[in-house]
Amino acid sequence: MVTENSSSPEQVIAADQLIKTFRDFWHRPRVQAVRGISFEVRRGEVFGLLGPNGSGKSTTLKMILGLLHPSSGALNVLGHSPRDVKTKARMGYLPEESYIYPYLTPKETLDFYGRLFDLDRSERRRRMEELLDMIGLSHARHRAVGEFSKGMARRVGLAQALINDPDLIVLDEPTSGLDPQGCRQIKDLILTLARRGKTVLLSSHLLADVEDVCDRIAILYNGRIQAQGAIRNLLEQQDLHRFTIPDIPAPQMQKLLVALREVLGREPELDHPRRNLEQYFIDVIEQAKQSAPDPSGVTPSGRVAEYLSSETNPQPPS
Amino acid sequence: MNRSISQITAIASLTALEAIRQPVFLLVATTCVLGIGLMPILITHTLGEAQKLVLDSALALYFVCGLILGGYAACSTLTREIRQGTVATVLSKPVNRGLFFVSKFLGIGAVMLVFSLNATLATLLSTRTAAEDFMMDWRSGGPLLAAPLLAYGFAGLRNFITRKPFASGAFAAMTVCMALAFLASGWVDEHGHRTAFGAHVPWQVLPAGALIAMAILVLAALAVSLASRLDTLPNLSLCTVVFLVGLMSDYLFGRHAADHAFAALLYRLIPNWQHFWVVDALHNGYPIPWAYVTWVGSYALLFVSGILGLGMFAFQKTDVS
Repeated sequence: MVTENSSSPEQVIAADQLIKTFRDFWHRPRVQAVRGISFEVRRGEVFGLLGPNGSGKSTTLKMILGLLHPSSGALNVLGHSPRDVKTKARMGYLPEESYIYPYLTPKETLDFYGRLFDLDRSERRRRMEELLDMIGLSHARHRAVGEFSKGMARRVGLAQALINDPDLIVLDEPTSGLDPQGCRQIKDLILTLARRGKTVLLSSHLLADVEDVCDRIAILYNGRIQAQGAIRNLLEQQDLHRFTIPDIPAPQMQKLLVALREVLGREPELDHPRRNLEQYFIDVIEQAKQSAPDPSGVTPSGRVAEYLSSETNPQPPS
Repeated sequence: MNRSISQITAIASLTALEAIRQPVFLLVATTCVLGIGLMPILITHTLGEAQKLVLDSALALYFVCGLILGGYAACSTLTREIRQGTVATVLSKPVNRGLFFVSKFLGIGAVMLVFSLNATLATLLSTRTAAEDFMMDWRSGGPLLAAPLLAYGFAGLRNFITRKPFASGAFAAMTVCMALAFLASGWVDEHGHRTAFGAHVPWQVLPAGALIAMAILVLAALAVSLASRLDTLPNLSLCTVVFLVGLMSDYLFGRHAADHAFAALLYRLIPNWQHFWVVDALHNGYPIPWAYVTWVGSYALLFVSGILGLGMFAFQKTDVS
């Protein structure tokens, strides 16, 4: 197993030798989904759990959320047991599927989850408005969520996860079902939350998304951690360097190549940097929107909800 | 404490709202009310005793529809939530599992009580409509049949104008219309002359309706408790078995209870539905004293508490995935 560690006193999640065995109706072991994993997540970092289907990512997340009981091992979340309601009061969870009530409208959904945190009516209303504006569903607030597309329902799921301004946000496949703009918005949001000292734990199949936002990752396979550490350290090729230079006239380029050839003793690799497809797509859609806006779909304001982006001091973990 | 009350209210009202927004719920409730309303017409060509037949059939329809709705609401909320995962989202919030479980029952219980109110009002009006053999009192039958139609019209219009859900709007409007129908017909006799309120209302039906509501709550508690562990089909099957065995409890266990400890145990453990069914007493002209209703209420409360206690214990250990 590949590991990389650096000590930090502010552990938000500490898992030690976690095992989860699912049992059948007769209590016989059916499958062991998690087989003795240990990791820690520190305050303010974005931690990614990666792995193929059935590797134990979602099971691990659900143990952290207190929804599943570990068969053995120790798990501490925000200084308490994950089943403690005090712990849950400081967590937000976006499930893999959009587990929301199909007969409720987005407004009713957010109001319901706000009431579970005992937020007063005016605060609920304020957060609801800001979140609906952020996810671009203000115009669809009176439609039942069951009528929404997967991407729209996913946005409602994200909004409910953030209604309590959580210290620890657990996101299971956060960009699944979203269009590139939605993906970019989620990634920006994750980075904004991390800047405010929030801790984000996410699992995803989309490696490019993970690479964009995560500080550290753990790769799971068959219920075990195969590699973990800071993403930069794991991916950086220390024995190679890359220069990026502006466009220069051909004679100067030739001179540069000759000099490099002389220093390296071999031919250097030369190419033009490419734009990211996601960025290109977003630019094209933005241009199209400006010429002919479409009010029927998702129309995000591009703003992060004010109560999530304000720079007030977040609570330290107790 | 404040948070717990807020959570109970939120979860219970959400459960109630989810239940009444399901078209099946509205369909069964409307079938029940309209079925009871149409009974005087269907039973008019009998050789007398139309009121007894109407009362018997109306209460039976009310009981059966209540059992179907109670079981269905329990399964469609808790079982479906566990299977579809909405329960995972709720329990990832600072919500105690026991509180969640009890709130679910309270939501379903509240909806079932509103349904019972509708069915009882319909039975009162329908029984009055068939009070005299070979003729019908349209001063009560008319408003009864008009109430669901008006409610549907109102909910349709509301849906068209405000886009608010039709099913829940129609159910709520039907309750209001039924209450208005009852109040309006209570002030007039069969010829349309004004009388003292309720002079022609067969009030003896009221305790019978209340008892059936209690039976429905006991069965709903059983369905909610089983829903934490069983899927819809085994849940409804087991509820049906408990219902049928409970109906025959006196015959199966009661007569052996004095001699056999096991029969006595089963006699006490399985709800005896005969306590909730008093139509025979009504037919024989015996009034149902409210003291009896209170006694059966305590019996029902005991069963609801016990069943929910066991269900809560089972739900504490349920893995939510």
